[in-house]
Amino acid sequence: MEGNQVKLFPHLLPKEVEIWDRFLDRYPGYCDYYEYDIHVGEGIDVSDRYPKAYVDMVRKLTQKRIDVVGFRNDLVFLFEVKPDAGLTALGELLAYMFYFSRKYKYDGVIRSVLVTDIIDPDTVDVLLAKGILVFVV
Amino acid sequence: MSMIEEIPELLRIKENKDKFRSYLIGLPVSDVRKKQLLIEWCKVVGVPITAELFSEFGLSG
Repeated sequence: MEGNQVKLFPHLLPKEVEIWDRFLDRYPGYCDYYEYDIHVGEGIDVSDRYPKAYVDMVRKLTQKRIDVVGFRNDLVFLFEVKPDAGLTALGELLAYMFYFSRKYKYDGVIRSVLVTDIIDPDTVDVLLAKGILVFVV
Repeated sequence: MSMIEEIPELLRIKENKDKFRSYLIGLPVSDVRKKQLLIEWCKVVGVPITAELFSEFGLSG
């Protein structure tokens, strides 16, 4: 089952899959649909040194990757799924918001969302101050 | 003892948010401890943690 889940949620690690599964169970219909492993950012360009096939691979591997993007009506949710979340989640979510907005030029409302299993009050304080929604599941 | 056991069972449902708020506000513990309990309550009852919720509980910032 775990193997199948990992395939359903590409890029998520097994512990993250468990958390994401719990989120989907506890908040059914939170979004109309979800897209996984969304590549944003430009990645690294090594075209001056390597053949095209390798260049594409390096670019994809070095791009930033949003765990999950959810869509509900006109709202877009950028999800970071992270066990025992700390401040790295904040940096990632702020960066994803920047890259996603730049890439898709979406002028609707975009919300950043952290889904985790454990989080401390200090981290919650700063996430909320930055307008990030937090789900502990 | 896990943290959720510090919250009376009756209050561990989202419909009793107002009662839980009264309970939490009256607890003789630090604000940090109250935040920990609120985070645990959100996890157990299935409610997202938002700035509005923290503010409602008098635990902003």
